[in-house]
Amino acid sequence: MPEVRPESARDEAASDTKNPSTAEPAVGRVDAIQGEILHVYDGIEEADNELPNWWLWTFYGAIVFSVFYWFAYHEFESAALPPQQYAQAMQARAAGGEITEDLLVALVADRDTVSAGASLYQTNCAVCHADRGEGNIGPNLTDAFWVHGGSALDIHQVISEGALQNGMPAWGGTLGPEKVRQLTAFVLSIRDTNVSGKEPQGERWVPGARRADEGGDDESGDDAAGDGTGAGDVDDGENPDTLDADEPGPEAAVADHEEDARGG
Amino acid sequence: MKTERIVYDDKVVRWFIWASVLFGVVGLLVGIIVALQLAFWPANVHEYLSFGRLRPLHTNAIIFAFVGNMLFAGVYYSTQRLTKARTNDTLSKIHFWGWQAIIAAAAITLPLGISQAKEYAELEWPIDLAVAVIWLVFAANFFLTLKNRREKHLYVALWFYIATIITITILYVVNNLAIPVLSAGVKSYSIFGGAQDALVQWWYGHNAVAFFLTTPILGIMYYFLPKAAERPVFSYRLSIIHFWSLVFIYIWAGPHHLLNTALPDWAQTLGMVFSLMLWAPSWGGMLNGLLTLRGAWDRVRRDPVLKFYAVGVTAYGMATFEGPLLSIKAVSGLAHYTDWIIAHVHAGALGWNGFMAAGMFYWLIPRIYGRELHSRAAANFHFWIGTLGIVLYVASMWTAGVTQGLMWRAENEGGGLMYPSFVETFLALMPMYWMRLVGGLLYLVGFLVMAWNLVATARAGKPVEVEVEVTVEEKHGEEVPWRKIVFGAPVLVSALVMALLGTVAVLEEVASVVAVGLAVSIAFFFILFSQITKHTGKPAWHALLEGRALLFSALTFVAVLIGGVAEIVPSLITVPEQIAATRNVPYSALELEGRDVYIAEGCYTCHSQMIRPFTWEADRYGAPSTMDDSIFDHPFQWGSRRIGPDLARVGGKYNHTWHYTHMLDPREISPGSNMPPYTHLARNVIRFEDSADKLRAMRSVGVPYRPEQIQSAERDARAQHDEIVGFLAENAQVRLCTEGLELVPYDAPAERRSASNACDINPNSQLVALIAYLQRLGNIPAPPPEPSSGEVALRAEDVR
Repeated sequence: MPEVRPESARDEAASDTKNPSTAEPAVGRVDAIQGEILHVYDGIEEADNELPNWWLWTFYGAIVFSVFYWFAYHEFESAALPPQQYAQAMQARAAGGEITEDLLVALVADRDTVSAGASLYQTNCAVCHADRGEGNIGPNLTDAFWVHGGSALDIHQVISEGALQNGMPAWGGTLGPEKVRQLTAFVLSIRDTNVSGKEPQGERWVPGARRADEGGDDESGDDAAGDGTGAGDVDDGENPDTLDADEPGPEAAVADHEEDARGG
Repeated sequence: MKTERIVYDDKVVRWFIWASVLFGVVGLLVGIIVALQLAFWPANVHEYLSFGRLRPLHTNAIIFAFVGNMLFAGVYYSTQRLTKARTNDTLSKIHFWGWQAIIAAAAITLPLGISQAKEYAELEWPIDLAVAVIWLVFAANFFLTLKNRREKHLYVALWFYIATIITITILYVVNNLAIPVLSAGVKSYSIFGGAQDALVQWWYGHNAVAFFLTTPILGIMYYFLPKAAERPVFSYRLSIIHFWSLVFIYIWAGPHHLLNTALPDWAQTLGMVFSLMLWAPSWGGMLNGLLTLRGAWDRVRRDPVLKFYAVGVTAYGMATFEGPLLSIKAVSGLAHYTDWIIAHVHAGALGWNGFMAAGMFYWLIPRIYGRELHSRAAANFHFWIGTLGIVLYVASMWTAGVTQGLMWRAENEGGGLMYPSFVETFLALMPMYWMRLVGGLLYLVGFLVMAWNLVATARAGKPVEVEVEVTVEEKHGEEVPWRKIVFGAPVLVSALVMALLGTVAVLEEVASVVAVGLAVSIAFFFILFSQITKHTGKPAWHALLEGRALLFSALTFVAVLIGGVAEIVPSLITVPEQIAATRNVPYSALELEGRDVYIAEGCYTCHSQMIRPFTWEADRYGAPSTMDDSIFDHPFQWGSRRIGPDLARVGGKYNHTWHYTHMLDPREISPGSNMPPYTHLARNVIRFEDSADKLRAMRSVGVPYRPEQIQSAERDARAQHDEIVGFLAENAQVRLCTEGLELVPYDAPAERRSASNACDINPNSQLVALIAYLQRLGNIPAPPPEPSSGEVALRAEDVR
């Protein structure tokens, strides 16, 4: 196609044409590399080489694989889709051991466990409870007063399942049972060390007392007035209404948060 | 043989090129800013310029402004020459100025937070309408030129342009179907909700990449690459096979953006397997590009144009291998929500789109300004610094993506998470984020050098009017009747094979095996038969089709329609069933207002609301999300990237004070976080007078608000607002602004904040609405008591 190209552009092209196809584009011309020219459009020659075999087989292979995949997962259901795999994993997990007061207290003696707990504490808890447990947004952990009970099992449960109405998140899922145990051991190790900090919150804990036992019923009596969502709800993984805006917890752990945060 | 002289309209080509260069600079610059914001949060300098608002501006600028203008330039230049016909000057002018007006509107509205919150479809309804109109002007211009063509057969580049224009029209219109809320400014709600909206959005989102960033550029490759290389195109038959398989298969692959989500498994699997099947068709394009360079590789060394094409096409090949890889459910489990995806799209955008554009500009500008390129050395510099930029960008984001994906899923022996703090998994990426920024900067430097080089070339030359003498093919003999083409063997056999495959959806498993076996056998024997009979001298079916632009377009339309209909329609017809069975309840008026704040701020650009069924996700965020969780979400907000944690079940996890503090100063709660502070939310207020209209609009898209809820929307919103404010006042001494008090922002000095006339939040603030929304996520309240049916009927009248 004799296109009238600007002079300079033609020059530039001419300087560049040390290539095999200096011949004018033409249908039927046989190019040394690309073979016979089938069409010419606006000076563009089109050859018609065979499809590379590896390319064809990649294509066919993907189609065959797709058919087998569909049948395996959706027709004969011989392989587990992600939601089923998830259910299986959760079942395997449910086979776990029981935690006792004695076990947790025993852990305080294990230096590795406590130091592991201490570093977990710095990463995850110190923002709210301050570096030495003296309390900030969250209550002071070193005094004798506990909002949800001060026994090892109480502390373990609050760490694991949270006290959502007061802003304490549940850590059981994110940390897993082992780290929750380590953290409990650390908190037990600073219990009653009385670092001066936030004023006491909750009730004085008498060793031996236990608030949140299996049923979680103990707490409901105390809290019935101000807090409809007792520990019983916390046990339920679904938590339909864990935080009720209209029913703030009896001891709002965040009360002094702003001052503290600005002061520090 | 008759000859005619025609002059091509290259003026519009020049305009589109300069617009593309200009918006390329803008889009890349915004990219640099958002990359900086991720690494250095103080770069979020103003509410209009925060990451959540600029990120949509970046993506829209690159896709629609930079690549859009570039592809229009390429299409106008090549279509006129391939058809030997001039485009319509008036339509070209309307197209050009209309498109630039749309870009300007986008650049204003996106920072203002006027957004539909659907990725690459953020533009609100008036702009959407303008896009549709201008796109149809483009379509009219293109198809009229085809009609006036003096070359009977359509070259492969034109096939790809046809597929682009048809498919983008369908995608854009369907995905942007929304009900406007006229009283609430420029605001609308998607007619699709939840999983259906997700499916439609990613059918669009994926195919916007396919049919806006890929097919038109393939067409441009087929024209400009052999032109620049002065070599014959490798294979016509490869063009045919890869064109039809590409346009047919591409459209199915959208659900690969939603793997391991609450989308029904069958749709996920279709998304995955069609992505795998897409690998070869995509590589067909790459092969036809690279193998066309056979015999010109020595020139690739010297000619910057060919360098850009060689690397651009290679980047296309890499991205289209990575795409199917990422579409494998297990790989997606690692890569989804991470920077791996960011690496993937930038290999495509910077490598394929950016370098194909550069190659085209360097080739075209000298020709349309009649002047040799001002500096070949500068073009080579652009090539090398651009390539280095891409390598740094992609390598850092690959590393970041895999690192974070592995950290999210790392579990210790006890079953808990190794990195329970989300911020920890983010801070690990910091070095990569800075390296990405360097990569982006290098790329921008190269682009600016190109802009200077092109301007210098144009200034030295002057616009060239290209006048050519064309021979007009005379019509000889009878045209083959259209029925013979439409009902030709390839169409019938394809239809039969697809129908058989489609029966799998309804048949029992053994019968399905028979159907698929039959389909495969028919396809096999048809291919065999056509191989044997292809040299009979009769014109091949496809050669006939290439002479018929309208039939070609019609068949393309059918080919791209099948996948979308097959995936979306079955999903849509289950909606009434799902709504009837739902445990979910619609958002309260205040929560809905808060959701609109979430949308305006672009929270979805950093936060997902979709917990996948993996133990490590459940440990971190709670039970896996279900379709029911987002059933009333118009639009859905599942998100695609986790710069921050998933929010699907954040409701009730923390108290109001936590959210209040976290929104105003994220680092006070979460040290190391890169979330921008949202102090303006305490100042900006919501007009609760409009809440009823919003509920009404939601009701019109199928959310079952009861008439009395709509009626009391304003009152309910205020009541819930007061509750939250009451909680904040009691627990965090937050002072509501009233007469005589002065709002002092949270980041003001302490003495100003503690002044006796200082207050913290305006009444009806966006912040309180947003807290209400966040507290509702994954936290479904008990359904309100059902009123008697008589009551509903009575109240319905009041609402009207």
